[in-house]
Amino acid sequence: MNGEMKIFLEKASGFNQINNDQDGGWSADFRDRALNNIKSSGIPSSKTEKYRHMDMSAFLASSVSSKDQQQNAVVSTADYHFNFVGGYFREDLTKKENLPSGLEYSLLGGSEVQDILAQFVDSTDFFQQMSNSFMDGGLLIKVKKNHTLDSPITIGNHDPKTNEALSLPRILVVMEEGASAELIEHYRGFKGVSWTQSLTEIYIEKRACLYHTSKNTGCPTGTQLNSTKVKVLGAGEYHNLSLFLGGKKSRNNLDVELLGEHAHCELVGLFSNDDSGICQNFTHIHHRVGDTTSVQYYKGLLDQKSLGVFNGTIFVHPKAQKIDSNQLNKNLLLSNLAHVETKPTLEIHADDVKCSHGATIGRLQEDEIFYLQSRGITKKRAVQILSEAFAIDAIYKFKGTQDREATVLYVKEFLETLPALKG
Amino acid sequence: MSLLEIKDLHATVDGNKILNGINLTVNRGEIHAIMGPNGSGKSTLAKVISGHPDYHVESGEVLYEINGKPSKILELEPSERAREGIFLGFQYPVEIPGVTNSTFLKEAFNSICKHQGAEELDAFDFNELIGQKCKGLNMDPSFIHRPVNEGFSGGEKKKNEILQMSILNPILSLLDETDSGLDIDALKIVAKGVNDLKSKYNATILVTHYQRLLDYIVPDFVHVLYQGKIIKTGGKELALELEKRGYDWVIGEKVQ
Repeated sequence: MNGEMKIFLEKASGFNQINNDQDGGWSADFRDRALNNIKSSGIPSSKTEKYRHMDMSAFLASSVSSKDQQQNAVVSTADYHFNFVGGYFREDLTKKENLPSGLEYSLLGGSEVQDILAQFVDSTDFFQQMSNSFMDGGLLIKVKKNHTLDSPITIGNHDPKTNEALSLPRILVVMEEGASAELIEHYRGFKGVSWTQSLTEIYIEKRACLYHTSKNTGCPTGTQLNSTKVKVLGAGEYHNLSLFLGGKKSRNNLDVELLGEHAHCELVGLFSNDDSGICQNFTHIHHRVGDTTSVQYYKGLLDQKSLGVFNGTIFVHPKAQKIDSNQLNKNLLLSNLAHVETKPTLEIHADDVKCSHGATIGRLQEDEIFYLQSRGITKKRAVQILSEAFAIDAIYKFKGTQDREATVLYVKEFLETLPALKG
Repeated sequence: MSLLEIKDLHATVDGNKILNGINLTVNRGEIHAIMGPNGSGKSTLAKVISGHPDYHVESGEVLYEINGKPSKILELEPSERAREGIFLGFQYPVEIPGVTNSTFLKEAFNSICKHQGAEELDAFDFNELIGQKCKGLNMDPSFIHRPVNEGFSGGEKKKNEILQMSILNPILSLLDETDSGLDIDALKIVAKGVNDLKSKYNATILVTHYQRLLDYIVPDFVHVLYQGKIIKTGGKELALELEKRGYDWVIGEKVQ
């Protein structure tokens, strides 16, 4: 056993001891299974493509805090319905009075959702296995059958307020048949050598529809990972907007499985970074059955020495005919030292499908800048306008949200901090 | 004093010499048409005056009246020239997805107002101004809420250039083949834009291939550009003659 694994196991066993579950051993078993998995498959090497640029040192250096330690932390919860502190769901901070009707929530782990959680388990997904080894105190949200929520559900995380910088919030969302809702998550990385790793699993039953925005604000010294795993049944729809802005290291893992006929997903993403920050996107869309459709549109905006990675794969499984899928990744480099690695991939095992993919990497064109200058706009401002437009265009591709104005503002505020676009 | 005075201007692009000693004087109130065969340097001239970074001036001078004084504008940034009232109507207008026409124009309009010491307009007043201008040019006002030139047809892009010109109200307009690829209705809109703007205070330089536009806009001077030099200057009748006889006879005259 190597040194990294030893530390990992010590951390996990320490976690088991400090958390007193009240579910007759179910959570402990769940964690054990994930841990055994990690033991047998090992911590993946950063030499493999899937885990390139990954660095576990921040995780290994951090220490685990217990749920009890986070119970008394005082936080400002003005912005969100549901609040996580130090990775734990704080039920006492929930804004019950503002919740849209048709929604139920509870601590994650009751017997009725154990089967669903088990369905999501993927032994090849290291980050999910990690989250599962530290599973405790998550949030379950359920939107009741045929209910349409009239306003978005909002979720945020908060600084642990202790020296421990490890935070692993997790959520399970169940959209019952015919339900419709919008969900907005906002995760922030914490100061210091922090490790913030969220896992959101989403189960969309027949004819249900979810609009899901995931805002991720990085911190210059921390690592931030967000895994979203989605299952969509017949005629269900899943719309995702993933925003990864700034931070030393961030990683977006997004897996969607289209499991019933006429299931549809649209994944829109925007990642932007500066300094020597790294932002990686790994997306997988599985067309498991025929007559399913998907659209993917990701944009990267990189300044200084930052690196952006887009690695998107569309799998069309055998016998999944009549698939319509398209994928596009566009990147804009704002400095000579910024990098993008992009790899749009199709894996097609059926013959009657329509799939397209593509990627572009470029700089702002002199002609575009000159066009604005010729109208009295300074070069600096022209670069700001064109870069902002490049980014905001992605947000407009995410249709059907009630939160667009706030999202646009959130992105603009970040862009104004990029050295190439400042003042 | 002349509004624009170009003296022995030589310019290159990608190391190729395009302008070989242009001399041209434009006074307020005048409309000049610049014609000539392909590759003669017509578009280059318009781009050099407005400051495109790909074009390098080797020698010569461009003087433009600023605050009553002839000023060397080749030293100014393109945005500064625009703020002093120079407008370039593009042959190939650029698409800007994600920025609406109204946002773009308001930014441009207010940056020019600010520079000239005029009061900036708020969104409400500005939209009213755009509405009036669209109406004056027979253009659909929904135009202004679309992203700049994105998905526009060739004709719509050119009409958009004219709308921008009419809102920014320039002192010197340079229209670079704004008439190319236009049907007769669009051509009339372009002509109306230019004619509405015409006053004793401002001037227009039309770069064009065809005489057709000059049926609707009457130029005071027609210049023939060939190999980077103006080889003949005349009145509006010169354009008619060029339409009938082509450029060869002018070139032949010059050689003799």
